[in-house]
Amino acid sequence: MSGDYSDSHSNSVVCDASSLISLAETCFLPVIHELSQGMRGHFLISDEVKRECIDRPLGMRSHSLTAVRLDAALRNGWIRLAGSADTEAEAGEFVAVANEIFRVGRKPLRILHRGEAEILALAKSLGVGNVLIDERTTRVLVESPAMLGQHFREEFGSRISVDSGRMREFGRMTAGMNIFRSSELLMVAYEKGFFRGFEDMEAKAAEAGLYSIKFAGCSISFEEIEEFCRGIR
Amino acid sequence: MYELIDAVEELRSAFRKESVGRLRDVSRRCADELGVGEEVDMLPLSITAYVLSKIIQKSRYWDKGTRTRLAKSVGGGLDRCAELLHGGKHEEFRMEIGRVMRDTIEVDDRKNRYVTGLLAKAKLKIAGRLYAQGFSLSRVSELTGADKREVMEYVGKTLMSDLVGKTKTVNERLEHVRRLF
Repeated sequence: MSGDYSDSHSNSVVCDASSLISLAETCFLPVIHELSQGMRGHFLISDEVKRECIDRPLGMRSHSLTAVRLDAALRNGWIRLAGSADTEAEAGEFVAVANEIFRVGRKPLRILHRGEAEILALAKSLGVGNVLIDERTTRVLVESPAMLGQHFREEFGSRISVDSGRMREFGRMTAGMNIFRSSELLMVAYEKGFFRGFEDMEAKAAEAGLYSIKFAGCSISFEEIEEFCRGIR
Repeated sequence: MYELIDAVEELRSAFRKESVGRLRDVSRRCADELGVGEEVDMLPLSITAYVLSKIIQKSRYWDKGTRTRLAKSVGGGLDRCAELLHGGKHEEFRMEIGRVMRDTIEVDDRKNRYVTGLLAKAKLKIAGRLYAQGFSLSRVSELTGADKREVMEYVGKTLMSDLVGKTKTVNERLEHVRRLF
């Protein structure tokens, strides 16, 4: 079922497994359906993300419901398979560069897995600038590698060194990428009336949804949730 | 750098002294070396130390039979691990520490009341620690064997994202997302 999705629109969104898992676990996959009605482009996943989110967990009692939900989303066209001949090579590049940015002593800190690198590589090879990812490390590495470096210094002390050249190279590779989380999808969905069915509890429903997605693993802080909810109360 | 032999010696000593604090400390240090040093043999040591720290806190550990059995199988096993490492017998060490880990977990599983046993919990704990340190989700799943979904649920209930990760304001991020839909 692998697609060579050569007509991907630049407004498409490449989705990481972490976000799909968060949305499926909290019963918010319909948000993807709602938002996709008004977008030029599609929510895209790679073959590997499909294997990770659907194929493998279908056989796991504790996670098969999530897999069934995501399978339905795929069959209904809410999310689509996408691939490119260049993804594998690009992913290798992303891993090689990212895992040479930081060192502890002389040992490179291998923080990024091929799984996350493939998402970035797919986005780049399809010319799609939007990446949906809930896990924290990849997002911070793309948006603020200096912040990650500071965090490593706090974790590992003065043994940490940074290869500025590699950091700049990674920045060039990810230039123009916009990262967002399933929490932002929920926020925009609220603004478009997704929670109207809850009537006078509409804002409360959105707030509760954001907390549930945080507790499902989305890397949003309580402060960020509060910041959004202050504007909707 | 935390060497395998040091980890085994400290684990052995902590277990002999039945020190929960020291066992937890060994577990943490082994987890750190797993992430930074990519020393995969640290995983069974970290798990064993963590599980022992839990078992020692349970009343059934203090049944004479359980305590004696553990002292013989785990204590004896850790002694053999140390000997094997000193003798440079790495492959045999791997098999022995695997057996020690299984013996440790079996003590808890004998009266298993939960779907998720201590082995899964230990892996989650280690995975959570590595994720907090800054390794990616897939990376910690790869290093520990913990299921990615379960790691997400586990870390979602911590304050990790509150301490590190705010790179943009909510509005900055939303501005772009709104334009997409």
